[in-house]
Amino acid sequence: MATDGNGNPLQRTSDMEGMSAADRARMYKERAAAAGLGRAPSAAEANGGAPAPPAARPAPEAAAARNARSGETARPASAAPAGTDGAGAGARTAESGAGALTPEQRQRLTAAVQRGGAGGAPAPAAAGGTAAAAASSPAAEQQQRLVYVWPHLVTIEFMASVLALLSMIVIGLVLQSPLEGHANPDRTPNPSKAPWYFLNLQELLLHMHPALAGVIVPSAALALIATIPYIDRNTRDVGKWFGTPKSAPIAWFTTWYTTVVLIALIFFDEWVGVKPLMKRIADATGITFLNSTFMTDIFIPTALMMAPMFILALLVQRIYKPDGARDWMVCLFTGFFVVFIVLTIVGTFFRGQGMHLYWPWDPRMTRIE
Amino acid sequence: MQEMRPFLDDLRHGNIRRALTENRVFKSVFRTGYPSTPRNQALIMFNNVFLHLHPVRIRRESLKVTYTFCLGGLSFFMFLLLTVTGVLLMFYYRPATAVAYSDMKDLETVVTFGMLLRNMHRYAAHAMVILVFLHMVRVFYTGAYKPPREFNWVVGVILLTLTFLLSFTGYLLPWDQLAIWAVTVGTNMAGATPIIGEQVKFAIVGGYEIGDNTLIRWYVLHVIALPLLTALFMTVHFWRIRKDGGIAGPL
Repeated sequence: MATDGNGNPLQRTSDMEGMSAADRARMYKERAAAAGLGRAPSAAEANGGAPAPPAARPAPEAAAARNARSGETARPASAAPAGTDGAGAGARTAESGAGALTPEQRQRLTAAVQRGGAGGAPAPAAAGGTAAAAASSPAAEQQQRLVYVWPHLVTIEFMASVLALLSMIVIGLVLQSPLEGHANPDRTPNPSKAPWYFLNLQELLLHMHPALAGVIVPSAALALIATIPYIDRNTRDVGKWFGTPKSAPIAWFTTWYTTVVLIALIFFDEWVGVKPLMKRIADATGITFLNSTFMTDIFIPTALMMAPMFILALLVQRIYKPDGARDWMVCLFTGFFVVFIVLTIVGTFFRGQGMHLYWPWDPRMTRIE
Repeated sequence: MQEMRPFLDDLRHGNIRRALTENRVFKSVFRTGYPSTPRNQALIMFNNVFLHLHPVRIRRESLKVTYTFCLGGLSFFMFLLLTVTGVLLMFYYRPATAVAYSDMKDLETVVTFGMLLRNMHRYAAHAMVILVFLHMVRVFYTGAYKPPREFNWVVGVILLTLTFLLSFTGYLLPWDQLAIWAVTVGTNMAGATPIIGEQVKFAIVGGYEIGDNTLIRWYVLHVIALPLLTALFMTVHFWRIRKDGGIAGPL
């Protein structure tokens, strides 16, 4: 050992006089590592009598096996032996209960152990003979991929905050918030509009029963969005934009399909109209039920919302043959996203007096009271 | 005087940074030396209340701006900006129909920087709605909601809803024609809730027509109840990011 017999490598020694704090810190760390403090645990130590893991084992597996030193991690690591190879492994591991770890968690745990126990102060990984071997291991590579939050992330956060603050000040100086006349419940403006982020719902309100447009559809949308991660559980594609090979083409197709169908439906209701059409049919056939509120405000709008979704699903199935839940979720979520955007734009820029469709520059877009 | 020697030496040699950071006063404030060594870079994360939600180290890929576009952080920043501007606005605004509108006029004409304050609050609110929504879109298309982050996605959906509600409750406060009629549209929609629609509408309007009761209800929701609830869910949201292994990245 490099330390002079006293045993404590963290003692200040005479040769440290006149050194800067940073240099002293480096010296402390070298000595601590040499004395076995904060050194990465070696595989042989960790397993005790158990046979060392074969070199060809997949990365997180080997890493997890090395973790066996800390008692509670040993069990889940060996409980899911083949968890990491093959597709769908992430989902399987995640399903096998709270004790099991996802591959990602295992890697993090390994990284934490590699960092050493010395109060979070990271000892250089390349200290001692065993660590030299570990330097080429996947866990060490993982270690290489880690960067300090200070200064790397903190700088980005600071810059983003300053830019955001500056842009808000500039926007606040340039754009003036509207303040109209004093509130008057007796003078209804035409059109009366909700805030822009609710104009998608107000647009729906034009085509269906208020309970459907204002409550049921948005609640159902939010509830379905919340359940996405419980349906699509495969962790293979995490952390990459669009992940699976087919999801970007599916998203594009869904975008165009949804836009076209949605605008067609809006024009249909504006120019032909579900209600006038059903009234004519009811008059011609004598079946008054066809013109009832249930039919025109609930059943037909629901059918007109559901049918395009089914057709979309059929088309996507035929054209792209999605590979799993992720592709389907991309399809459905893109549909929701496009509906939200298109309806908001139509409600904001194309609905004028009487909530009829006009070009944005049409004089009838202006509010009158 | 003897103890001042290193400090004065540093100053004399032009080592200003060391003079300012390697002294007792600096360490009494920050509890750690200047974060230029790995040890201090780690310690500052443990010792600083504003930073301690961060890990000491993160994956390099997590830093890529084109991966997150900082959307979640910027949403939080807008929340903070809205809190600051909102508290300042509370000094000048009284939630009563008799005075609310004139208070708004005063903000525009009498209060120093009043119009800037109001503009920033309003546009930051719009920005927050957009940023939170885009943040959800980003998380979806990068698959970042998958196990073990399922529950944090659900918390995110709740936060999106709370953001809409926060923005909408603020919409009534100026008490102008835009406000009252937008809220009329909104409350009528809520009144269409099946079975309990009438009760829901009565509760959020505070009566049968929009007036003083509505204003005070929406004001209290806007400045106290919903921000606290949002802060609560944000706490869980940020905590879970750490617990679930930082922001999602490729394995």
